[in-house]
Amino acid sequence: MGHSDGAEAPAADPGGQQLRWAIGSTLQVPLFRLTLLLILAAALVSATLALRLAQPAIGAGLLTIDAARGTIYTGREGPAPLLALLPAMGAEAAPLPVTPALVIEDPDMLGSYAARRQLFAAQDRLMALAEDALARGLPLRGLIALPDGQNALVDLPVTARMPARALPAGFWVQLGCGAVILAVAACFVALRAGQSTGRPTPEGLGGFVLAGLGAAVSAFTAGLYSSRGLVMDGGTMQLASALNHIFTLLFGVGMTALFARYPRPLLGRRWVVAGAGLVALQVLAYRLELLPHDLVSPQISVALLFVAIIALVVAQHRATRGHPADRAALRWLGLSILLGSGVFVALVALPVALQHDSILSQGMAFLPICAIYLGTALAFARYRLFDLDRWALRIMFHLGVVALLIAVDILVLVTLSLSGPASMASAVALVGLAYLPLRDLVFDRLFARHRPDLASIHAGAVTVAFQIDPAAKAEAWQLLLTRLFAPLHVTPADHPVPAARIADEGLALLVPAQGGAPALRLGHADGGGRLFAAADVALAAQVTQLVQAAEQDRAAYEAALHRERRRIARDLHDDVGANLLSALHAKAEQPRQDFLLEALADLRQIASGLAGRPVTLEAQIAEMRAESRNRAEARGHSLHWPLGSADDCTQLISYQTRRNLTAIHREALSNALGHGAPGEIRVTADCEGMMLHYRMENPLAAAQAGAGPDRGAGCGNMQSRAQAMGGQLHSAADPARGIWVVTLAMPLTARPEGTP
Amino acid sequence: MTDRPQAPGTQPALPHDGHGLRALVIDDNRETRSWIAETLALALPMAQVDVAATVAEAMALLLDAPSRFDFALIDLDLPDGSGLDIIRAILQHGLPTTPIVITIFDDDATLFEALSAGAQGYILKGVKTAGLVEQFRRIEQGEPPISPRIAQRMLAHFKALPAPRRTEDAGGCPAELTPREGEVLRLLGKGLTMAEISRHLGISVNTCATHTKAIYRKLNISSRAEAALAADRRGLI
Repeated sequence: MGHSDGAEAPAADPGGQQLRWAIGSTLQVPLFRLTLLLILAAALVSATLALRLAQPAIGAGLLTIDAARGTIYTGREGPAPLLALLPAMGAEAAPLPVTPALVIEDPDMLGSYAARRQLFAAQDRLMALAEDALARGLPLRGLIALPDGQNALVDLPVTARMPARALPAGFWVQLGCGAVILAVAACFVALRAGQSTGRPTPEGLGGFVLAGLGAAVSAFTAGLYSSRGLVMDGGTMQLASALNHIFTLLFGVGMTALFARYPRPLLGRRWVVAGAGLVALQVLAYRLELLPHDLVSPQISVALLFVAIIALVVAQHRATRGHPADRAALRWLGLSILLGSGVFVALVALPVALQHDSILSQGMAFLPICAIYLGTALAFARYRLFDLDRWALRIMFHLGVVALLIAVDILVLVTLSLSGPASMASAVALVGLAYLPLRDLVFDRLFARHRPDLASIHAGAVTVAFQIDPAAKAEAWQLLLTRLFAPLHVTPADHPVPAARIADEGLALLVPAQGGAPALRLGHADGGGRLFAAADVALAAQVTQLVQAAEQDRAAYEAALHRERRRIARDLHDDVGANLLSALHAKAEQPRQDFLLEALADLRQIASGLAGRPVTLEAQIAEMRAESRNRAEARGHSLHWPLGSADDCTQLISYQTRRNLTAIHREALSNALGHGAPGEIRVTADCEGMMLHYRMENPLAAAQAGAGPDRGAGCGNMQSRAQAMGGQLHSAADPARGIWVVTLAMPLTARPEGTP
Repeated sequence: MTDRPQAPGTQPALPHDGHGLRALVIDDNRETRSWIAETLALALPMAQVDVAATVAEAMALLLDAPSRFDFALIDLDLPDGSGLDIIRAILQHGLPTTPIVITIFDDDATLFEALSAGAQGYILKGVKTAGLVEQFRRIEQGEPPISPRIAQRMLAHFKALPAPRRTEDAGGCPAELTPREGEVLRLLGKGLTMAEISRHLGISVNTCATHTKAIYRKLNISSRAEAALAADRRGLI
């Protein structure tokens, strides 16, 4: 799993080099690493189970071994203590007394080297008896003490292999605890941060993992012999016992190594190594019986290590003063370890060391140790133990769900296989109708790959583009990338990234800076499930373009909006402002009111322009008609504006067109009212194609007759407004008919001139 | 239509000096409130005009002596709520008060909502003094105003009514417009006056005004029916 650096590697052997890179990279994919370790753990569990099942069994299902009452035979005669084992009928061998020492859970619990040697010898004799009975095809015989004080002989069948269902619960507990501990340790090894982010391997993790390995293997080996019932090959048992001894102490050494360096580095590594060496010497002395038993017995070593651990935890407690995060981690880790190991020591190791019966069976004692490990796995979610990242928790959570599903699957299968034919049918129906769909649902929810579709990619890109605040934009961008690639971690890139590209042989994807967001390095695609590929680079590039295009659109839209606002502001200033000023300075009440009313009318139209409500030409004409008739009548004129084709024109007109058309019409009407002779004012408005033809006639006053076409101050204004709309305005007297005529021809869709 | 029982708010025309007329002016702008009250009092010297500035004040006055007011002139935007609530309360309590909206602009969306809710007309603030009295007189005589914009909104409203559903009020009057009423409304939407419309359709101005009143009433009926229908669809009733 060595780190391969592609950039600096010589190109002498490109093919092999590439293969090595590929393997190295794949090994760095956390999920792959984790899978590999879990397979190893599963192999260890399976090997333990296979080895256990390969042992012969005597009287499976008939004998129970009880620490307090010895070996109990349960048959037709009722429960009765087993006193001795006799060879099969016809075999020549001395009876073997069944003593508490023979059925002791752990050989290391015996008080002397001699007792231990005797046990192994007895086991060898038992094995010989069992093999002999197997060869003859006859059962062994057991001598039991009946309640009435008499003794009796019973048959104890021998099988070459241990039936799985005859294994005691303690064995399964040990196997299960070992498996859980291994899985947790595997997670910590596979998901540690150092490997993927270039940070050093966290302090103390090694000790924690060693402790896990020690606890798990000691659980497996203890499971092998403590569930033996009666018989087990002496050599195998001796080996298992030795391994158990070593790995139990490895657990203790791992723990001391952990607290020597975590949360604060207290002791140098050489102290830990020295301690481990001392323990190794003790193991050697005990196994080879070099020193007095009571000096080097495993219980003594365990007790010493336990004292060392407590001392280190206390020292850590002092050392973490002023480091609240470390203190919190220590409090959780230390407390759970002290509690878990404390239960083990107090209930199993200590009584044995003091020559008493242990209070808790050794098998069950692995439960608290397993709890330490589970507790630690949970704790790091909160305290980030060993600097593991959040994403590691996600993987562990998913792993937990998978494990749970498998456990439930097994439970369902076992239940099914155990139920009778009638209940079997209903159980199958229940599984089919409820369990399997539910299981699929859970699986889909958690593990289905949700590759975003085009619509959601687009929506995400638009969201990024429309964030104004740079921080919000960066966040939205990161969110979009996370949705697309589900990376385990996202960090700012170390160097500028001109274009999206793959880095670290597929472990990371570099994405260029985007708006307010810095260039990013996405680590581990799909939650550490795969390497980044060329398709990811293409997708990242496309999304980048999409965001840029959306940003340009937004800028254009904003510019248009800004133009519109400026236009409206100008109208407010020019039209409303001018009328209000006129009202302010008007000398007479009548014109003042007129100016104010006009300002109000302007305000109304500008406000409706601001509201952005679309207006059709017919609605606009109707409004002008109603407004101008009121004005005309108030001044003693009459207005005749018959329905024309413009009254049926449903063409939408722009705010600008509305403003200009209204202004021209008002101006023309003001002129007619102010300068024309009394009489009927006639207005027509027609629509031809996209052209509006407007015409106003009013009776010509004597003073008007000689006036030029630019009558009145507003005439130039009208002219310029018409031109701005791309239209043409004529205003002139028709002396022959005695009228003044204003005509306007204006396109309805033209964009106003002079606006950007 | 005249033999129908009087809907709340359609009072018989009053004497021209406003004798016996009682009106309540509700507007939070003090100047506007006084202007309207004083203008009415000057034009109709025998009328009694009260004022209120908030929804709460108005409700207290209206509910204190339910038969007191013939007209309530209601600004929609009030500091403690909407004038719409006052209009609804008047109809809900069956008060003999004709609700009339006071507004600056006649193209306000809230104005249309108020008319749908049962307001019998509206008065524009942005007019000269003479115009205000004229507007009030017209409503009083049963000629409520319909600006082109309001008429266009009404047309859209009636067009959107579900065609097969025949909604009727208590007196059996359908909520849909008759073709003639529809035509009157369409021409009002073009900005034509009553006189122009009556000429255009060859009917009397009075008939035209009757149509306008009918349009107002049907707007109210159909709006209530629509609200009930919407509530029904949402499972509220």
